[in-house]
Amino acid sequence: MILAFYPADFSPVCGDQMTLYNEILPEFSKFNAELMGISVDGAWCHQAFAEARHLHFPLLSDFEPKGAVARKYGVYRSADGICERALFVIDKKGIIAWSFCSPIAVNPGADGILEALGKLPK
Amino acid sequence: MATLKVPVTSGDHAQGKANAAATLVEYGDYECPHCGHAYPIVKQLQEHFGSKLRVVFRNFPLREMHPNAESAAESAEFAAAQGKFWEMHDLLFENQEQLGGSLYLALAQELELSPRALVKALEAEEFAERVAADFSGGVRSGVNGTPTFFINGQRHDAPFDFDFLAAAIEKAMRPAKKAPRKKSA
Repeated sequence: MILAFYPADFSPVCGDQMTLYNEILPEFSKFNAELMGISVDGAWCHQAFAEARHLHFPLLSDFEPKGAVARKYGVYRSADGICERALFVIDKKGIIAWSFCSPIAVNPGADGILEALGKLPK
Repeated sequence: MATLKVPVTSGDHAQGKANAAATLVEYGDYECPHCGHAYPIVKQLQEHFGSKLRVVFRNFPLREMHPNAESAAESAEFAAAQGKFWEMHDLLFENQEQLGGSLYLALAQELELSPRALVKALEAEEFAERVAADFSGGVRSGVNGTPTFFINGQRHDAPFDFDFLAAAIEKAMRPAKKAPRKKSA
């Protein structure tokens, strides 16, 4: 499973991380990997975002208690009230096999995820 | 830092010499407004650097967001098969607002390509594989939206205004500094 923390719904269109991942879902499914996006946005905001961008994967809402999941993963930015742009690849046993925290303004792309998925035992 | 995983080969659409001091690879989408914005900037860079710069274009259509991106990319590949890639590439960006079947046919006619053959190629998805291969390679290289530029194989993470790109290209052209040699005693 790929868990992708991101700061907020509705960032600028063509460079948007979730929109990009939506386009590359087939590349992820080659590895039998499920993608989930997660941010502190509420469920209704997520719904509007998912509809606007035609997203075909679930968005999780880390809204109440705010950022609880992000804190557990160590990727909450208390000063800003949002989570980092952080990626986790979790294997079948629930163990984090790979993680990466990108500078908040830089969309990390998917090369790291695909490389990590490729290294997981089949 | 993300690096280009698929090296530039003779199969690429390139303008400029293979031994140019710098190679700029763009992953782009004909329907993406930011790519449309980048189009004249790349031309400006080519004018500025002349033969010192090679420019390569690869397809990265964001199909979910841009319903015409794929057909536009395949139309450009159709033209490429007849040696007219850059002509079609330019016309598609210059007419970005009108992408769609009737534009492709008009452009084919303008470039003296057979509109009928183009329709057939699009229907048969003759160039879909080529476009998909570009896309896949882009994903592996860390393309993170459109346009994404690579300069001598390194992803350009700064803005794509002329000044930023020109500065990054100039930096890439400078010979790497050699580590100071230790004098043997």
